[in-house]
Amino acid sequence: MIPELDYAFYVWTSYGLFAVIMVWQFIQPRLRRRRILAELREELALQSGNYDDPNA
Amino acid sequence: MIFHRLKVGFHRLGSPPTFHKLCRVLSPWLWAGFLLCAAIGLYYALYVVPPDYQQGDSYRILFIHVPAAWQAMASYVIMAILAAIALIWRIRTVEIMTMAAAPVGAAFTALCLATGSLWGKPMWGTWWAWDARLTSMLVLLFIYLGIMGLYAAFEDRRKGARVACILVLVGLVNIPLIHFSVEWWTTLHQGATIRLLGESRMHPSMLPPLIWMTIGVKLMFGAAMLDRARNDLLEQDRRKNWIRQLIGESA
Amino acid sequence: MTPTRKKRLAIVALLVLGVGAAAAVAFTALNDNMLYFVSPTDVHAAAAPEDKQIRLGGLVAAGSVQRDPDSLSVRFTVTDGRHDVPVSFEGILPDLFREGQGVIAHGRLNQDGHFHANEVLARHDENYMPPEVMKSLESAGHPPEASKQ
Repeated sequence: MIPELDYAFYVWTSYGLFAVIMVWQFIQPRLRRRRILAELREELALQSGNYDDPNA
Repeated sequence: MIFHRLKVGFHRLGSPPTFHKLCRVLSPWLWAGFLLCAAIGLYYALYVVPPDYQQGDSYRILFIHVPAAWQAMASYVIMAILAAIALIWRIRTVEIMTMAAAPVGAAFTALCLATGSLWGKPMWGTWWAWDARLTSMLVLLFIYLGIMGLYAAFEDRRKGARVACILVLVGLVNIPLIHFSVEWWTTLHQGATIRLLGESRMHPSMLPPLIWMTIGVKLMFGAAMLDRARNDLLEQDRRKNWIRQLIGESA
Repeated sequence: MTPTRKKRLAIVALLVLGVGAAAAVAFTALNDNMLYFVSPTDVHAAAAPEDKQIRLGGLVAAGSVQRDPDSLSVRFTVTDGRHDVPVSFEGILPDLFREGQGVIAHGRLNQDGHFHANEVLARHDENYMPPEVMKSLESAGHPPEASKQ
């Protein structure tokens, strides 16, 4: 199934790097978005007075 | 009439809620388009196209390297156009988009340099050479990183964006330098294979993966830039009412 | 466009033009330093100083490669079609090194015009095609035009 290529190490490392960078560009903004939203929800809950303090 | 409607559309994009919605709606479609193009492109690149008469299978790195290089430069041109609009009209969403383009362009530049190195070692016999093409591409990476650093260094986001936008325009001079480096000076890197004017130097049977990958990374650039812009907007406007409403709806 | 925006547009245009002009002047002045290699013609014109490390670039002349069977020593001629420079090298050559292909040798030129290389890099051209296409082109007598070096 996997094609047998000359210079396999160089070719597969290049394609692997491509995959890693694309996945990273997809995931990173989504993780950051989740973090921002969680912070904002916490802030809103604090202000509206129905905040469950996990440390209480 | 058409001009007027364009103008209205342009101004509406300046409105944060409209812009946020646009990012949210467009991003999944662009990512899906990228996945489709990349799947077709990778299949052609690894299974369908024949090996090269000189370089064997190592030339398959080209199908990653060249689209990445083109996108690294195209991203910069797009970023510079956005920077000029941002500086002249002072539209905040455009400033945010300009700054969101930099990390994506930097990623493509890094990918281009890394794959170039992986191609250079077996073919040229070296990972790196300080010729005009390779050096100007490395300079592009540093310019991208400089823009990101400058933007991050300011407490006032808008001020940071404006200062970084000026750096974007200064760095624009590097783009023709990269393109013409192989013509103006002697370099280890070979000249252009694909030419807009005149005949290309690649056999037509090898072109399909290059075309698919090039379209794919263009869509991906748009998607990744909008994702980042949306986050930046969210963070800047966290105390504003429209964000509160938005969170209220989604919660 | 409001007058303020017109003024900003002028500033942006001036900035881009100014930086472009400065870069053009700088790189014209630095032109010789931007060259990665010199051609055999440059060497013959004595543009390349003797006993200084230089990079010599050109095509490996057809039929010129002589390998020493007992060591890694190799001799070949680098040509640009007008002038030839004999090169000697000891070491492993890159995979793409072959007669008729581009090459860049880093080393010193002797008084007698002989080039001693301590590093040899292969340079490939901008043509890509499948092996069968190359064969049929050759049999038809139309090999691809060599790239300019």
